[in-house]
Amino acid sequence: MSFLSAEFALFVALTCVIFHAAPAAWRACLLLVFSYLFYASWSLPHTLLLLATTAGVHMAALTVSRCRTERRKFALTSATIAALVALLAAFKWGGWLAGMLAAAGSRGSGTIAALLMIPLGISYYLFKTIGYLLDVYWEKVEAQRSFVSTALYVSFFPQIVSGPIQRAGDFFGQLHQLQNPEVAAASAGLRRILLGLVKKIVIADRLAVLVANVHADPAAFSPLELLLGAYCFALQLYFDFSGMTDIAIGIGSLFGVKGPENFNLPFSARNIQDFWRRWHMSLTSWLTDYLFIPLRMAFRGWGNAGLSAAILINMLAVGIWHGPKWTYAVFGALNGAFMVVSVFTLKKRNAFFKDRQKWDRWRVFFGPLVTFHLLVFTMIVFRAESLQQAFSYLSNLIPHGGTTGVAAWPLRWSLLGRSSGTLAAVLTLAAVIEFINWSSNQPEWRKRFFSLPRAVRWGLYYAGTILVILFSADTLNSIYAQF
Amino acid sequence: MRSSERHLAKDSILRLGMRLGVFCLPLMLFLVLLEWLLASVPNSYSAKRDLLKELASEVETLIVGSSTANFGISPSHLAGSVFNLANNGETPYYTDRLLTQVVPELPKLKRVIFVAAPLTLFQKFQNGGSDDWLKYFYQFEWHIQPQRSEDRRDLRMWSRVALFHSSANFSKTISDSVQQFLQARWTGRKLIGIPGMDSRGWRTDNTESHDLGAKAATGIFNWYRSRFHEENLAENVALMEHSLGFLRGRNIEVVLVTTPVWQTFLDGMNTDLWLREFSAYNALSRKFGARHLCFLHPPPSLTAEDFRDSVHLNSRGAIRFTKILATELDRTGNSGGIR
Repeated sequence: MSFLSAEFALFVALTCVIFHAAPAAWRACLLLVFSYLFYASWSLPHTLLLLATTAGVHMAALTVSRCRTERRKFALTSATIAALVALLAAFKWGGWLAGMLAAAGSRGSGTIAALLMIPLGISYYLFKTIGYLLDVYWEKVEAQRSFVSTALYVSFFPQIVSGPIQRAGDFFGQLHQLQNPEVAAASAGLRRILLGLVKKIVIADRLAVLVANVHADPAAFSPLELLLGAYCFALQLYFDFSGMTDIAIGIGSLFGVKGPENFNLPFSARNIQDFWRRWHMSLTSWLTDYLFIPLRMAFRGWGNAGLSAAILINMLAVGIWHGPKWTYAVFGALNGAFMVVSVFTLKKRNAFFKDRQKWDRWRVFFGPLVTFHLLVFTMIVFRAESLQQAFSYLSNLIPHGGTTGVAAWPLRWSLLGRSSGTLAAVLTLAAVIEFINWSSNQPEWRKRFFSLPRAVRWGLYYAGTILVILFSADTLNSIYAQF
Repeated sequence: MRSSERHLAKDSILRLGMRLGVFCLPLMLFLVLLEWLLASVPNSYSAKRDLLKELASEVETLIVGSSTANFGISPSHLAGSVFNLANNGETPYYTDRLLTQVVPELPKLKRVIFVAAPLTLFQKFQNGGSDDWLKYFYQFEWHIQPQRSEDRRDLRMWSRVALFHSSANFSKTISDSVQQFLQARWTGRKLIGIPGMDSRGWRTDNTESHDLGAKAATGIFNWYRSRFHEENLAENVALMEHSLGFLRGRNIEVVLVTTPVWQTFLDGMNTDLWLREFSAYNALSRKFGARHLCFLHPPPSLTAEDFRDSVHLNSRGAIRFTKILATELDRTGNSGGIR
């Protein structure tokens, strides 16, 4: 059952009605049952894996919390985390390995590949379980006695497809709200779902056609068309993923669970570090807490080299979290390299601009612009099917630098698969949506919006809903659901 | 939490639910309006149904089949009153059901031209196929139930919005429909037929020529391969036997016609598969005393400019081919046999 299907809408509506009609004490159990039903609609064997993993982690967390000696506690935590990482690696990279074996003609590789079909949302729920266990080990969170609580945390259906990765403490702290969900939060959740649907279906999926065309055969396009394709992919990725996050957070709110934010106007970031504080925040903050900080502590004796190593490993982890592809690894490595340079030059840059007040004004504008272009560059690698294709794309971006005989400047809309009018409309809508994102965190703008007559507000909701209905016919799976 | 607080919370949630219900009411109305609009604007299926109804008393020859027939035979260039009832992607199942429905309504019908294109006998609407959704038009416009019983539970059986929603260009369909509807209202014209279709059910707007190269032909072939399956052969032969037997029982002449394809398509064809299909067509024609006129290898007078793509003729090609077909129909008369 896809997140963007009519069946899922009906499922959410039904779950909501039953949840709110049920006695408060049953609600966690009901939500757990519906979460498992949702997951089972994708794959029954993978549901059993989810259940087994949850049971294992639940028992491990309880045992860790009861361990008297630090050594045993450490050993049990390490062993469980190693098992979870091995599980993640087996599914994420096992299929890739089987593919390699198949290419080499090995027998049985087909069976291995079939067995290692990546379970839906495995990266998300395993990261949740690892975080939970570490939090219990570090005594930041109490181990849950109730299996229902642990299982609901791991399988909570709005978050299992493409996150956000909610921290255990944050989730468990809200469980009591299941008994009395805030109406205002539920109402905001509905608006958030609509916003997410517009982002995903109306914006990201319109851009997807153009992006797919230029990436399918970069040599057939002019440098200007490739540049447009690269910009469009950055926007597609953002609106796709942030749209899915909005839907997840919105649905969570209907049940009284507030999910963590994943994006905070990332393309307004002043530098790469700032960008990664605003992009896929639930993953990056998870990696910061559970990977970067431990690494930084371990390498603290190495000075700048240690800091660089911790940044590079962390960003590499961000890259390969997406899957076993060299393009993802290079994407992570490039971002890591940019971040290292940015971190070590930040003080000097600040000092340089401090002495030149006039230039500092321009920095506000050029900082995000340069950052955006660096990211667009790395996202070309991220989107490519292989490093070779990424290289082909990048080399053809340079006028007369690639294999293409196409002149530098033509924009052939028919080849790109979208008309200039459609693209202009989509980009305008994208700007409006970004303004809504920004203003929703500004109290005075929120107040202004809610003081508008109801007819105007509802008119806007209707406009969004009708756009979603009209464009949902050719909607695509979310990019981040595959991770 | 005290029980009074719980009641309060439940009431508020109920109020939110009711507000949501009120919000959804106009959306429901909008969907009902769309449903009505889509039902009132003609599509290829309803247009052919209505046009045929108008000509029912005079039609002598009927052309049936899939896209090769829809695009490839111009009724006006055959002798007598001819109507092209073919539709894109039409499978033998739907042709059979259409014939049993329309033939009794055509008192002067003497001949049915059955386009026996390559791979037609392997064709069945597959679940999830790119043109799978077409089958529901037969339900709406002709009340023909889908072949597979599980398809009968599909929402698209009952709702045109759901049906068009599964097409590639839903928003464009809506805007085109609104435009057509408003134009018809403005001019007071009755909505019958569709733009680009003549009064005999033939597509006249099929003027362009696409790539006929080997790569494009392979693309078409691969697409066909994904939706045509060998296991459908026996069922489709049985359906054609039913159609041909039904027509023979009414003394209506049947002519199987294989329309020409371009050389690149011939080169890429699976010869064994085609030979099996060809022998099935021949067996059918022998059994029911029908003629099979096979023009698979294009007559020399047809050039690349006569093809829409490597498997379909364009309007110009269709006119030229229909003239050749007319001559051949005259030449071979009612003698039966295979060209």
